[in-house]
Amino acid sequence: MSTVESRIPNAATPTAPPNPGTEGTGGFRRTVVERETADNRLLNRVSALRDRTIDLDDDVRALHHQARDFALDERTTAAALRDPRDLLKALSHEYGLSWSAIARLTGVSPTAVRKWRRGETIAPDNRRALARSVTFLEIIGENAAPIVDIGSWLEMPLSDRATLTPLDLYTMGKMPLLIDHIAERLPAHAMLDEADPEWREHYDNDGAFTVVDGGDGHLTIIEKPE
Amino acid sequence: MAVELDTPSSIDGLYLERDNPIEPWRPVMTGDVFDGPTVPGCDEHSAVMILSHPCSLRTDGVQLVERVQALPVVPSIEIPIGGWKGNYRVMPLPDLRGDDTPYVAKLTEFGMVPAEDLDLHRRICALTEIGIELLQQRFFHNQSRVKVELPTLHKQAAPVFIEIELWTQWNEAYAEPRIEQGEDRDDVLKQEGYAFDQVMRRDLQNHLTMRDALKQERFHAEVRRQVLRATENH
Repeated sequence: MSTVESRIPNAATPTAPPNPGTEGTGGFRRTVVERETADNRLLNRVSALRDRTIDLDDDVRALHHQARDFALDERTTAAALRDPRDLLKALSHEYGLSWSAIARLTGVSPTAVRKWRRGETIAPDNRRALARSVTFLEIIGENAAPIVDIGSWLEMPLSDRATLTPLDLYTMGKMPLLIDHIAERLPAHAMLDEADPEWREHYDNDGAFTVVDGGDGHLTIIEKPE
Repeated sequence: MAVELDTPSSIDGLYLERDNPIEPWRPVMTGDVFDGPTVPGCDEHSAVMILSHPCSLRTDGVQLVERVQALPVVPSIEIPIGGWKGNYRVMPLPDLRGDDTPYVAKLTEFGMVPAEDLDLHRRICALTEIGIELLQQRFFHNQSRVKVELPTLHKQAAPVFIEIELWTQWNEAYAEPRIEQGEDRDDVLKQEGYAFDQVMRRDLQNHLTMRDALKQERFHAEVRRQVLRATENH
């Protein structure tokens, strides 16, 4: 604050009101000039304050992400001590995730997850990836009052205009954006813009077809209505 | 503008299992490859890929239809991942048998195969969900010159994908121990299939069965949770 004020030293000093009875036309002109000057000073001061706020917001945001990374790392380390089969079970039984979703969360093939499920040893890197996935979902749960079912949320599109889901963003390494979004610090489209400025083109909805209830117990693909 | 069909991210992203044979706990599904049966009227081949749509494979949710649609599978020249964008007439099956030999399923020569000829002992491959969607996209395009996007195909087939995954876990929990104790495999798989089917017919909410709830994405996770809970408490 002091830095901003020192840039415009007189900005806070109120201008004396003109005396219309004694100044005449010259006085009126001077009054207008003084007011314009005061307006400009105010404008400059507000602009400077705003710039400073933006800078501050960027700094705080970066610091916040850094602090959260540290906290996430600590929690992941603690979670990695758990039996990896418990971590798998948490993802499938508590969050209701499919094996293909778990494979994507942990960055391995569906075959690898099938083998883990059948008792094959899990490599340390993958064990940590599992722990990180569980920790991420726990954090989402702690920050996400409006989300009733985190498992469903993870696989639902983030916008009507594209197919991108939270799971897609997680696999793109955009976990901090997702947490900001859940904590209502980042609107969905702003988050998608940050994740991929061309998300509207890259993850465009199918413009030709849509899926409806076929009436025979199954879903059906039909041409999109005009 | 040339139409480009989609590609898998890697071979690992295409195959769910490629053992010989793969475990019988996973019910027969679109994209499975079987050694043995052949598609009548085609050039020589010794394996087929199931083509029937996931929603059309079964009569009552458990039993396979009497005859399934299938594609002949034959050795081929190597088609690199980039080549998937074209080569419209085949479904590439790189390293299908784990011996570096490339194969393809021929999309132009499909026919019918008796379901009783599909021997689980000779099932050599199961595709991932993405793999099945790639097969569907290629077949639909081959038949109609229409390209359907993978997310649309996924949305349509997701209920069956989820059911097959849960059914597999049910079989691992109940069919596998019984078979290990010496009971007849086919009888056990059939009995446990109907036991699982009963779970899918239960209500998730008032007048909404688990199976019907799967048609709505918002219920996917809850159905998985409830069916897995039922699997543990069976």
